[in-house]
Amino acid sequence: MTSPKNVKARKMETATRSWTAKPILSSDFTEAPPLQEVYVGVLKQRKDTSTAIKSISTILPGFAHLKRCSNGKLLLAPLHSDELSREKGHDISLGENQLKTQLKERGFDLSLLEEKFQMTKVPAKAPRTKIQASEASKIWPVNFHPDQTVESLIDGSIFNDDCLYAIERIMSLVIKVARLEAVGDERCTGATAIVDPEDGRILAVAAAKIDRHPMWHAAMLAVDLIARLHGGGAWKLNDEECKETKEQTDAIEEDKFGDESTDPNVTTEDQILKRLRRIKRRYEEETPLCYPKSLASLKFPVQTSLETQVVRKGRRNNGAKIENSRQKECEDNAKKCGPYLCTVLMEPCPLCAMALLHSRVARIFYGTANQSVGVLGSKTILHSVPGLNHRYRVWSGILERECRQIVEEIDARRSRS
Amino acid sequence: MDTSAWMDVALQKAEESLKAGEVPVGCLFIYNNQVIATGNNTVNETCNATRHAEINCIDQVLKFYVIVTVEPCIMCMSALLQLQIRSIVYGCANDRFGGCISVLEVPKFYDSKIMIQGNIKGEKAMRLLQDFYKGVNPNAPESKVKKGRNTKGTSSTHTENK
Ligand SMILES: [Zn+2]
Ligand SMILES: [Zn+2]
Repeated sequence: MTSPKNVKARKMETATRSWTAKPILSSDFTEAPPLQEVYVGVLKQRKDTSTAIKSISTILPGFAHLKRCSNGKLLLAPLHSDELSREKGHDISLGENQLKTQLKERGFDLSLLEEKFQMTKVPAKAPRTKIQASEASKIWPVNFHPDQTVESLIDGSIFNDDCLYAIERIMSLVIKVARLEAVGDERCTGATAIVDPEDGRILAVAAAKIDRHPMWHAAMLAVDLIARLHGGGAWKLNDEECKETKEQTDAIEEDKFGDESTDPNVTTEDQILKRLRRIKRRYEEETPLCYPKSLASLKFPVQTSLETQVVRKGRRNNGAKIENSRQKECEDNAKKCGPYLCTVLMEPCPLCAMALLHSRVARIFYGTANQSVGVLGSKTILHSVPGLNHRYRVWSGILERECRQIVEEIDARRSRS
Repeated sequence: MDTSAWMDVALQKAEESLKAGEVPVGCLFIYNNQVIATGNNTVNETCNATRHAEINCIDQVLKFYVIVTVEPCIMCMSALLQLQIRSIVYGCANDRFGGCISVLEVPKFYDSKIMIQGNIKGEKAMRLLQDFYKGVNPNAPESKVKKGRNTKGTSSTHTENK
């Protein structure tokens, strides 16, 4: 498969790639770390450094992300104590004399330090990235251990060229689909493909059709197509267009009924295995599911695995290797979009973004920003909002120029009609 | 569905129009064998040539308001806003996914004038959720029982009016 010619062709592709996959990270990773005001004691003699550090660390622990002493200056305490302020209900700042008394009471040898304390600003939080760490250490030396996963996201090394090329081919398909079929509005439009990253199989492709149903955004349709693949599905997609599909669906319904006829609340291992086997079979026989159906006649890109270095193990649910303890989990996954990845033309609206979150999609790649209601970078970063129970990773900028162009084209088409 | 019986009702509406000096057209929206909207032409009454029976029904169904025991999630909130729902009344807050205020304030993206009122019989709604995730219900997902969604005794009490 990898003849030297192919390799060369791919190299060419790398050289000419017009886009970069930009990770959409929470501000914790992208913004300059905030600063806080602190008291600093100046050591009279450098030889006392280690004694002073040891003493202050036991008396006033903290500043774990910073070197406690730098250039003969010893970090003593923050000017504003969060703890104290929370107790008193308003902002309390610590006076210099108060601090001196505190230190003396707890046994710190104040004679190690110059009489007058200094006030300075230091990074308030531990840096999360190399870039932040280097910025922070210009202000005060930091303790920092880079997270390889985070760094690979930022520098793009998480993807190799094969992977990027595969993503590009899927996005090209999404663009084609959007050009042919998408009917959206200025808040959400375009097309979506859902892909199994393990073998790169395109499972479902859908174009927005809000002229047919107000909830038929591309991602909402794609999620329901996956549900159908898993033996469910809520919307009767394509049924009006294709009698064959209807018959197929009926057969599936029967099949499902046969499985669960005894007691819907009890699912035996056997039933789950049967179900998963059936899903597997459908993977091979029926994918890609398309809405509208006509998309099935498009030329689909060849399958390439999209797995990257950072992949959780043992999360597959294709039947062959499930263990007893994971039955329930597998079954749950089979109702959702498991570890799939999702390629969308335009940054999802809250409806689509949250639908993909509920469906446990693992990765989202989008082309162009959605300035009006996009929540994966434009209006907010949904996957960094605290409290949510699932987080996907998101990249923007896939074939960005082409995607933006097609969004404009769809807009123009809408205003003409 | 007995279409001819429903048509009788629609005809009555049309007759009302006639009496009122309007073009006699009546319209019904039926869902699950129940009338959810009725309308007749009101072009003269309103001096508006678009006020056909169907448009009047559409306005009626769009005027419905939503009563839901738990604050809608971000997805549903977005869907409801796109449908231009006027008013939402919910029971307890949804600390996990809430799209009114708890996790993300979705209405601000849609510059919407939707009325939202929360904490109406919130405790009861919360108790149902707690029972579900405690595993009283055999269909409760196992993983979530452990995670204990919304079980921190937070029948959060806020009333939103926007
Ligand atoms: Zn959408
Ligand atoms: Zn919801």
